[in-house]
Amino acid sequence: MNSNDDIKIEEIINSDKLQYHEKRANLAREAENLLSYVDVSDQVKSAMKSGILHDMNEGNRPYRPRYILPDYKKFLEQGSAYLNIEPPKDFYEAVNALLILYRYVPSITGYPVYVGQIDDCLEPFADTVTPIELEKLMRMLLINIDRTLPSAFVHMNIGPKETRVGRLVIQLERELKKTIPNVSLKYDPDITPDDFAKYAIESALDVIKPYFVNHRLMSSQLGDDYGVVSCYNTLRIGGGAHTLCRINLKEISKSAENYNDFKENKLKDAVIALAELTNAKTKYLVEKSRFFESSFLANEGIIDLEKFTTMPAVYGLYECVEILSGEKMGHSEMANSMAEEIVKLFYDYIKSEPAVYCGGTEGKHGVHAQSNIDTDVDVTPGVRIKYGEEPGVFDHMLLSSKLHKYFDTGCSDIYVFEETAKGNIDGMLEIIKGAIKNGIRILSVNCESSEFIRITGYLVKKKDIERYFNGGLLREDSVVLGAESLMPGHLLDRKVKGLNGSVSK
Amino acid sequence: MEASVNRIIQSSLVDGPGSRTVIFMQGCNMSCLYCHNPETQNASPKAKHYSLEELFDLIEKHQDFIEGVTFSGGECTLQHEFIIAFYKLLHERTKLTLFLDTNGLVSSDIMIDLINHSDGLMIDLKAFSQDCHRALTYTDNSAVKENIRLAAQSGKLHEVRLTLVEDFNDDPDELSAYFDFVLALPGDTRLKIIPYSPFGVKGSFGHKRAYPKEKYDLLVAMGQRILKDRVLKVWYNWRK
Repeated sequence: MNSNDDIKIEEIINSDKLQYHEKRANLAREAENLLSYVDVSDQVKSAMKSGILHDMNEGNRPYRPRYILPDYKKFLEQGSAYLNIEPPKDFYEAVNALLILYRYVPSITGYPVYVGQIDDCLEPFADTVTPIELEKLMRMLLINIDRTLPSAFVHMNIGPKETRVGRLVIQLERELKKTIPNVSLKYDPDITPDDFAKYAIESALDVIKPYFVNHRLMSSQLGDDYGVVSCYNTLRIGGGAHTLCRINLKEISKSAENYNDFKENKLKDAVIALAELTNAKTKYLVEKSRFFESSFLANEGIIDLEKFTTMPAVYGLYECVEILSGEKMGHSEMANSMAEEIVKLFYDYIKSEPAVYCGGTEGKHGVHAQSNIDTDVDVTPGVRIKYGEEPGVFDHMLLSSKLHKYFDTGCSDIYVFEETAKGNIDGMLEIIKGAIKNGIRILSVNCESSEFIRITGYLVKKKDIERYFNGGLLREDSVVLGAESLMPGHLLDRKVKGLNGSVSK
Repeated sequence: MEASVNRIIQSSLVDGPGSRTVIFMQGCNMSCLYCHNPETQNASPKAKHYSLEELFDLIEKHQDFIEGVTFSGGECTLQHEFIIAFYKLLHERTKLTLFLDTNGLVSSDIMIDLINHSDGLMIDLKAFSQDCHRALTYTDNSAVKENIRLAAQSGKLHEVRLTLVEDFNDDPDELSAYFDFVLALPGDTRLKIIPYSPFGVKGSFGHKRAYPKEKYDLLVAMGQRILKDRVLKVWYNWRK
């Protein structure tokens, strides 16, 4: 250990800002990073140094997968020998069992990013209690998750069927107005009743939850047993993602002499480096740190290595296209075509690279559009259009739909609607149906007056952001991330959709 | 045939039923003191011109997202020939609907033609008494009332719209006559009551304060006593 490490560790231990568990997490990271980086080639090192390739600060020696989606339903059916839990017989026992397991699910953040397809998990027990008990238990479950898993990357799924449990999640999250968990509704117009979808839309316009997931598209690519976790990552239940590394398309385009050089050389080289880094980390996780051999989740079949994958990602498409074409995505046919061509090329390149332990996406790498982290400056998340530069909402959606289909492990856009949307839920449903029909993968609708705000992929309260900048103490680690994200990402410039110039004549 | 268009808003949730694209036509035959889109009143070199096919192409590519289009303005009935032709095209090739948002100041012949070539109408009655209407719009309202009756009879009148402007058209006696007029219309005609907001308004009226909430609630309640649930309330939190 050199003296710099000493200082860093001492700073953590002596901090008056960090809570005990935050100190512990930071110390673990520092310990991991005392070891050298996983073995990678000079090309990878230089791509990382130049800002083309980014490892999401996951740490030098991966010892748990980035995202894990335990098969909670299976757990509830079989119990757990390790945890000494019998299969629950009623709703009380089921909730208790889930709350216990949540504490044992690792992830990159230290908190589970997935708390289950909660209607599938709990609806089978709904008849074991009275409706009043049911509501009370769901309320306690949701509050417990909020207080004990304080990370806005925690994600709960419901749908596409309407259930009592699913309806209660929407009702209670709307009422409790808390950040955690994120909620996604798997939506299929043929399965999800309009009435239930409208109930969800009303809630989304109020508290942003739930998001709408294109169930037909998702299940055609990953099968019915997929989950939406963290910020818009779509992965198989019982599986997850070993790692997420990403390439910055803006930086790559800056290094290219022209569009052809970009397509044929620079993008290709970056993808090769991306795949190598992804594979190196994945191999280390599986073969050296032997996560899947040591974890009781794997030993008891609650997770299965075969269902895991990787999620190499892109971001900064907007700037990339602007640099290469001189035109703006969303405002020029030429820029739109180029955007789609680049995305398709990335898909083809990454799918043809060697991949290890990617059974979750048929042995090939998963493909992801990454929605930024707090340190990104002047680069637009994933394949989105820059905040404030969005075209008319339907043109925006048509462009999104062309790009989303390539990202089997997740891609999303945020569409902000004016407050008037609250008075016309039928109209909102039409728009969402149109978006789903046109192939948009995940869509979140947000209302201008909502007290919540989506940062790059997650959700925080406006109030908490103000508090952060005023130096108040916060419970949620992602609020800290969110507040930082707010400044570099220019999020508040985001265009409000449906603005009507004519209130009256 | 071409339309003179001030602007098109792809997604509106307040201009008729469902999700709609709104075409704001250029030119108006009233000059309301509280006009929120004064730039649409007169002919303008900034206006864009669309042929039937051009406008249709713009709408068609978004048809998955909308229930239909609404022609607003300005005053859309001034370009009735274009609208009627567009209605025929739209119905021939899509399932979309066509609504009109009009001030109702048009001859009854044209109005009947438009009623027959639209799926629904929103008509403003800006004040009930002739004096109030003239003070606010510099025009007479007899034709407007007659056209509202015609539209109501046809079953296509989606709603009548009233913008409450403080000290201009919100006198209780004036409003009471207004509500009685709506009550007497055939069908269950609805009345949308909109509070004045200063956004977009030019001239001395731009300094007029937004309609106060307490007063608005009181007058809406008065309308509800007469018209029951046919009164539609609109209150946005724009006062942040």
